[in-house]
Amino acid sequence: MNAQEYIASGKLELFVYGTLSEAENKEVVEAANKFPEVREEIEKIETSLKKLSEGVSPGVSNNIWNTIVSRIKPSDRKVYTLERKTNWPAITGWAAAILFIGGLMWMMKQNNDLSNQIVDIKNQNKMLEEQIVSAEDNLENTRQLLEVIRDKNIDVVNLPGNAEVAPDAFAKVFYNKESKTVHLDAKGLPEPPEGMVYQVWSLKLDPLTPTSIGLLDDFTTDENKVFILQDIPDSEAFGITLEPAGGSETPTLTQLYTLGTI
Amino acid sequence: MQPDDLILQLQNRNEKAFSKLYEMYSESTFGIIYSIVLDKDLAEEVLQDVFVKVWDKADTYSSTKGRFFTWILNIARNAAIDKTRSKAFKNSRKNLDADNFVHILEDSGNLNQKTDTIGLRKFVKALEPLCIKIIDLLYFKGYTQVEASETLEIPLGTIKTRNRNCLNTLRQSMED
Repeated sequence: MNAQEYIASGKLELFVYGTLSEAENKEVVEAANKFPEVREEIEKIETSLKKLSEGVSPGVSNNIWNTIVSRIKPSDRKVYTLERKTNWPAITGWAAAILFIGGLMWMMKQNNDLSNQIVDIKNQNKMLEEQIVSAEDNLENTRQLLEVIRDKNIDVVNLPGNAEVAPDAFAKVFYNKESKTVHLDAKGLPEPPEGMVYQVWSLKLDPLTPTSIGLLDDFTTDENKVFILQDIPDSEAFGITLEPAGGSETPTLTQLYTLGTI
Repeated sequence: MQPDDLILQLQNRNEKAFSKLYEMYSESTFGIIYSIVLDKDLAEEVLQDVFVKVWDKADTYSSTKGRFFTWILNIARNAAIDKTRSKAFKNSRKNLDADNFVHILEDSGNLNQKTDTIGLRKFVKALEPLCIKIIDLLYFKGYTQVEASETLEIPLGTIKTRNRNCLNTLRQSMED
């Protein structure tokens, strides 16, 4: 169809009415693009129909537009939200409360720590006191030993090692005849083997009579290795033998470690 | 010429463009709606719905499918016809004397400032009764030619030829 045929066809009116089928509609759009006369005719039809419609209108009220605007912008409607005013007294109050609780917890922790420290220090004090007591005891023991050694009634007996059994061993006896006491310094003896014990003997020489005067049961645990033996019979010599635990009736001479005469 | 710039701006959610397009098309749209629902309050409700829809669906319009005028016209017709099926329409005080656009035009106080209503009245009155019926059905009511032929019990060929002739008569009187 050429431009005039389109204009005469009656399709342009229907095109503006909006009642053409989709295919016909497309055809008219193409024709309008192709022929300026067709486009012009369409615009004229539209203008007339627009005027006719406006004439039929009973008049659009001014408030209609406002309603439309309010409907397309629902977010612009005045919505009364609660005022977000900063509540300083409340914030300050809460902050103070939180600080207070925090401080309280910190102080409780401090208190707890200090209590623990006090307990520790008390324990340390106790230990130190015990050390002092023990040091005093040691001092007293040493002082007594010194007195023993200085006593005019004391016989000092050297007990050198038996060359055959223990050449390096030695012992020293501080013998008080008056009090029948012997202080034995056994520091020079080796540690006895497991299950064996040193036994100390008082000897009479003519005839040779050994009398047991004590077992050094606690030899390994005794620190200064000074042993006090009591009720010593009259003695002319002293010897130390290694015996099975519990000691023996008579000295085992093959295990004679040291021997010394007065 | 249709305001392609404004339409493009509308499609870009420009409210000012929307407002201008409303200025240009609201009166004619209201006329179409009123000719169908025949009640001013109901017609105003429909007009609001139509322009809200124009805003919401602006991006669905394309000049490759037709005129912007026609696009709004179709929205308005459909919305108005929907309204005639509502309970509100059944209870409304319809202007029962006005069963087509000519009656509305003749109806007393329809003298809005946008149009030379008195002149238009004269031209419309000069139309043949059949022309009035055909324009009413094909344009205002959106009937197809086949539907109009059936409704008016006139051969389809007559509808086709009269369609253009009738409108031409009106146009010539208006354009003179």
